[in-house]
Amino acid sequence: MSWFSKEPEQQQGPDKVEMAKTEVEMMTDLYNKMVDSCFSKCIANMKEGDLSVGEMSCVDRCVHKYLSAQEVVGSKTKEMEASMMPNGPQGGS
Amino acid sequence: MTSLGELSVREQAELMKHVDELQAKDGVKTFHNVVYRCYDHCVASLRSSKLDAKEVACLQRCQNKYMRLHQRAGLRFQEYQQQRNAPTPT
Repeated sequence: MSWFSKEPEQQQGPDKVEMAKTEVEMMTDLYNKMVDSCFSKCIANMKEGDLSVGEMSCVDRCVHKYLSAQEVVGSKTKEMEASMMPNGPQGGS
Repeated sequence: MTSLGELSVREQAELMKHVDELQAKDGVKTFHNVVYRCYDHCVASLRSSKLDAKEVACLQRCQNKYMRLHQRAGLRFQEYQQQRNAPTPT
């Protein structure tokens, strides 16, 4: 029991933290996959150890496009999930 | 998206601890991705079990390139998120 804490942390604390944790995990996972995909799409040769100008702009476009694609697939997935359970969402995230 | 402001100091600390753990794991994952991609790209022949000088040089350039791309993608990723979260100016 902590009588010196200012806020009531017991009630809804863990849920929020768990949600934030999951979010961070999802983000890193997404990021790693994106980097890997953009590497395979944008890097044509290993003549140099640095990114060429062309590769740099490819990476820029790739990141933007990958994240847009993620949104498209995400909203489509939500739609499908919603139509699959007509009784209303139950704890889906 | 959950904002950090909604969490108490103690919850934030817990989250940050998790982020640290995650970063350690993340480094290992990235390392494996680099090895996979660069091996794929730089090693074509299996006539010898030893890496030749060319392959070694290629792997080194590849590793460097991968990390550069990783950094650059990070910046663009942040920019994208900021644009998404920013209130649309009218």
